[in-house]
Amino acid sequence: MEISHSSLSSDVYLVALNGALNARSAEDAKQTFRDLSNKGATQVIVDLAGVPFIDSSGLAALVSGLKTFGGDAKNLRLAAPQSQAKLLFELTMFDRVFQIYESVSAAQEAE
Amino acid sequence: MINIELLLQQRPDLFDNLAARWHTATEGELILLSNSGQIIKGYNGTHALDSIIQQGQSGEMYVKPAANAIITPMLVHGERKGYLLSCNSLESQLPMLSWAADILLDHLNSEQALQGMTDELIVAWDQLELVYRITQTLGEHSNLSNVLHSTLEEITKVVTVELAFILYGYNGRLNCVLAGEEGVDPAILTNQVLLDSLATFNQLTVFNNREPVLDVWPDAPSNLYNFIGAPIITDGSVVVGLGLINNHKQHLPHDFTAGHGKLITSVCEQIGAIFDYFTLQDDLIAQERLRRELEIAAQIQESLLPGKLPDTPGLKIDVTTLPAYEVGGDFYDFVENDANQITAIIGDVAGKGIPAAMVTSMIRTMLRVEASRNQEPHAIIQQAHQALYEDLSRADLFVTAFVATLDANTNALMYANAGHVPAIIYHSNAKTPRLLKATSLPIGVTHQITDQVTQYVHVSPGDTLVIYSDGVFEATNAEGEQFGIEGIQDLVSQYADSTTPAELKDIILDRLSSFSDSKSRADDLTLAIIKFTPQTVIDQAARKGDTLRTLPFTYKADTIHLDDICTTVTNACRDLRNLVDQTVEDDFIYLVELAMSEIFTNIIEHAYKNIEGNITGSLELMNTGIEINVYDQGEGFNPNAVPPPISNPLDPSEGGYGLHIVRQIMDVAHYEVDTPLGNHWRLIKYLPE
Repeated sequence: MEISHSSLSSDVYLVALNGALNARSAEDAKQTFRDLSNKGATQVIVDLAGVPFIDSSGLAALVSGLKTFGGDAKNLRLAAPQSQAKLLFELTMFDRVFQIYESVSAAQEAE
Repeated sequence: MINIELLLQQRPDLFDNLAARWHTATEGELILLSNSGQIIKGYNGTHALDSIIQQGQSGEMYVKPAANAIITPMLVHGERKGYLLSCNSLESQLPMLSWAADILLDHLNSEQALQGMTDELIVAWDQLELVYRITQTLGEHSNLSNVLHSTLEEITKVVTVELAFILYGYNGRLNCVLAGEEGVDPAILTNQVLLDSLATFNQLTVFNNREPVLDVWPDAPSNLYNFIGAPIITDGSVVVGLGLINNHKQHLPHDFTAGHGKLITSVCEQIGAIFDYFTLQDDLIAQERLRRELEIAAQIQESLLPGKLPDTPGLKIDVTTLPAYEVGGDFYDFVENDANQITAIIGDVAGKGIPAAMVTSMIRTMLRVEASRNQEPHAIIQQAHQALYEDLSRADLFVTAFVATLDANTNALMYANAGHVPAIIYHSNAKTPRLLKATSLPIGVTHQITDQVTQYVHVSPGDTLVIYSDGVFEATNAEGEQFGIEGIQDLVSQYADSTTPAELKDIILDRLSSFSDSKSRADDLTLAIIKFTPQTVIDQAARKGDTLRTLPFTYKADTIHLDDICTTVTNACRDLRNLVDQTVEDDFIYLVELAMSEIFTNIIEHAYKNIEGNITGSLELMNTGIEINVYDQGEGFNPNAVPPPISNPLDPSEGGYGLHIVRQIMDVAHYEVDTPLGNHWRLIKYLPE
């Protein structure tokens, strides 16, 4: 999995994931969230447009990130999930935990 | 004391007869004189009394010499009451005159005695009549204060008195009823000190001046002239005293007498009986009112319960509510959201009778409306709370509620518990019951309900949700022990797998009734059981369908291969698309990929514990779907040991979902340790029919 990030403002970062988010890539994702938090980020938008597959290990990475940013769903927003990711969120009822947006710009504009 | 003048006014014939006979016998003329020589009776004007009698030094009267008259004193017990004078009489006739005086006195004495007896008779008659009229007033008035008022009016007619009052304390309130003098402020009589004094009198007490009254009634009016105070004996619950007062009108000469005392004493007995009658009637009315109220409350409650249970594929439901003797506020409801989803609501309004029943109808309607708009249990509770908080806190009532949304399609259970007793979710695979405890305070307790939000529980077909009211576990036996939540949990663990909800409900109710010692329940009892049931029963051992192609695989147990495994599955499913005459949806592929990813991750992390090993097996493409067999030589485990996590969205659990997801999405997910090829996962997902 490729993980890249860019800052949207001084404390808001965009994290773009590319590839399957599973037991193999979960640790990298978690580390990315921790690093950004250490750099002073208080909010991230996770762009899932490049993630064709997420399993429960990948889900755990997102939950870990959520907690890294204080447990408030506002601070780890998910953007543009593919249909497989949506299906997993629904199955696990995490669609009710995360704030999920159709696009990065929608996530950015939301309150 | 004899009063000759007064008696002769009433019976002049007593003297007149004597004088006539005296005249016939002696030709003398009888004259009755007072002690001072004034004529009382008998003088016909023919004699000049001055020339006949004169007063001596010591004050006694005697006849002048040669007056041709005789005189004798009228003596009662040696006391002179007057004189009897006879003109035209001789000295020799004096003994006869003295005899005539004795006769007259005897007559007068008898008359006085007779009058005394008559007076007593009249008093007795007055008493009887008064008591009769008092009992009559009972029939004429339906309220105590009217009866008492009429009674007092009767008393003031019979005893000439300015003011009569009855003071009584009942249910902690002091009341005064009065009759008589206009313009008296009852406030000065409505006096606890006075009532306490009256009630502690042993008997009726008569005061004929103000001074001694002050001992019992320090605030007595300054112009009080005389006073009768009496306790009234009742059967206990009421403290009553009677008072009769004459105030400033000194021209009323009557001191109260013993006769008044007698009369009032018997009246007091009647008044006591009136109080007993009314308190008894009050008790009866209160009982009847309560009984009626309970009846209405029971009707309201019954009319609120849903007529039929929802018929939701994938859910089997049974519910019972048994109202207690004293109707409480248990309620339940099921709202069908869509074909496979319902919201179950069980609640308990703290309070009894009609107020609780009214609130029950309100809260139930509110929850129902909210449940049909929103499937999020905490939001449902919060909305109802916001709408009803003011009303509830005004009525000093609160409501506990367990709200659960159950989805048979996704095997999901969401709940919020506003101060209700914990519900039980029994996980069939793990054979474990778990308590779904309160997530917030009851509805109506504090202004804001902002505790935990909706909790999510992942369930599997076969799992059972048991929701109940406190009447269930609070059932007590003869030793005073409660049946307890543990008691219910034990029964659920023991029977949930092998019974339908209706059977489980009957078992719990049977055990409860044989456990409980009392015939009537102290509280309502509501018990709802919902079982997630597979919509199509799939035999985990068998499989339907013929193998069209077998794709064996071998991978190193390393997460580095997870992407490859997913690709393999995707490709196999694409092949399946070509092999069967049916579309294979993307979602089908996603779910099989997901199951494989979870199983592989599980084997790598838990069977091999990240140490080197192989994962082998095969994908079998069938005309009905796909079967996957996966083998490892790592450590076996019991996949049922751990129930799925209950997630709190505010603090979600990171792990523990994997195997649960596999069970949730595959039609067959069977695990066996130590088969000849190693630990064996057998997964099947059928194509939709």
